[in-house]
Amino acid sequence: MKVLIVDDEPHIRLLLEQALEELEDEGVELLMATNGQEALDRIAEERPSLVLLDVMMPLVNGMDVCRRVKGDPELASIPVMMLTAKGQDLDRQAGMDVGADRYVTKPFDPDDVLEQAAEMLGIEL
Amino acid sequence: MVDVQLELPKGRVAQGIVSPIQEDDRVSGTVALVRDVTLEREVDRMKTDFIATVSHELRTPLTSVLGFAKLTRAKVDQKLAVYVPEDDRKAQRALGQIQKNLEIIVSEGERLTALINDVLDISKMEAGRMEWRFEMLDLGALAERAAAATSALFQGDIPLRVDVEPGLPDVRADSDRILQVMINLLSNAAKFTQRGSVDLRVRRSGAGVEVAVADTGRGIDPDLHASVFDKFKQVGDTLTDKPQGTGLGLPICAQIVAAHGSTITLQSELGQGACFAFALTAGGEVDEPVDGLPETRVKPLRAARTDGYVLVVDDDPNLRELLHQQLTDRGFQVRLAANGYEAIGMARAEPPAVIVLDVMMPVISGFDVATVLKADPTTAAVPILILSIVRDEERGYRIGVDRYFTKPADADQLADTVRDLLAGEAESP
Repeated sequence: MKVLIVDDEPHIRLLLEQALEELEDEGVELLMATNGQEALDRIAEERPSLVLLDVMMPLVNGMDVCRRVKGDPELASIPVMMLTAKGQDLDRQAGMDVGADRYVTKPFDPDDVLEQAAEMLGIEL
Repeated sequence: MVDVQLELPKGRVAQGIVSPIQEDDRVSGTVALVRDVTLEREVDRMKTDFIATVSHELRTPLTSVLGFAKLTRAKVDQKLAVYVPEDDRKAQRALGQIQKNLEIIVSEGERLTALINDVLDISKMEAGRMEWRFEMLDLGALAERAAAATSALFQGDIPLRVDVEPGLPDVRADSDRILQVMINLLSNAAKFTQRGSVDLRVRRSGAGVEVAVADTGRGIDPDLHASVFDKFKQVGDTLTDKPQGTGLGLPICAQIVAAHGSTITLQSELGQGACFAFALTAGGEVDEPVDGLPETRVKPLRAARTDGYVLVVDDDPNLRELLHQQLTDRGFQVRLAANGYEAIGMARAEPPAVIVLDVMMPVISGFDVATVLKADPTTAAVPILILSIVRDEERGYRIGVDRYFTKPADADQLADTVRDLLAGEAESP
């Protein structure tokens, strides 16, 4: 099983990598992408079981990545967890409108992200 | 005194204040002041947008700080602590310090998060962009919830006593926000009370219900009473007392209570405890545009269609899209117009079942669109629901609109009203 972490901030990628360490112990491979275009490429070639997706990123933003993934019949079933600093209702609605499966607001609790990711992957920790 | 907001041509806004001149017990005249406040409103909007951006930018580094601190704390506690020899005093002390330091980073990070959220809240309230959800509420039941939420603060020597008068009338209020006020007042009382008790009282007061939080704490100097509601002013010596909280708790409470048409009062003397109280009117004479309208202003509806489309008119593409989504999700057929001309053209070509109309739009305002449509026999029967940041129900009803909502509106409430209008059922507020 593969999980793709998408964020342009290196510290946040590292944080998510450490937060999801326990999934690695369960045999999950963690993949990284640093912008939206790279994310689209990796999703197409790796077919991850879950994508953790930041919203504000250069080149292609997270909303567009999600919209494209969910609009592609071959990729639409890949679950997407949006991670974003925006906390307003309108943004949450926008995230759901492009088909995101979950929506987590920054600052997030690493334990909470781990729990939700495990649940989405069907892994019992 | 009368304070109204007026729509001027070309999207400008004016504030009109009319107040009586009183001589002894006699009114000898009135003064009217009309001021163009377009610029102030624009500055307010820019300020709120700026704060929203800053709060977003602050959250990213904060995510790293808080997240890594929490992960490190867990690693130290679960993986490393066992390897520190129990008889090595220095190593044990260092371990204790690391754990305590991480605790401080986490709690200060959480305080910073609360501060960012509070700043965003208060700037939205001040700019009139907070989304309120008014409903009929039992304040006694809400007080019990506030007491339960703060019970952890009252487990020591200071008991919390809840006293709710039986048979209180319901009031019209936003339950989440009033709960926030109660919790805030109770936390403050717990924080500043070392001996005695804290009382939460809910009682009948005139035509309404009063909520009071009284403590036996250190009290507040009467000279400082006004400043406790100022932003970032924390009463007490900030050089010796470490400030707790964000300094925005009471200002936010005051804004919330003000949005319910009331004020928070404070009674206190130094060393004599403090009592914060506010009263809400029963039955809800809240300044809220949906239900608080006198019956005579609701026009009898002529349209009684249950099919047809809803025409949404708004110049802001995001809001247009949001309304489109909200109404489509709730089963309506929706068409969109980006300005008044487009709306009039579409409405004349095929009269919609209901029109949801913004007021402040370039070239031709929503009020003018409504006037044109209500004067045209082909469209006169189409119910119009105004959805605007401009609070001028008076003018709306004068030109014949059927419902008046203030932005931001609750999606469900809006959809219910559109449904009523479609069915031709005039609700009697």
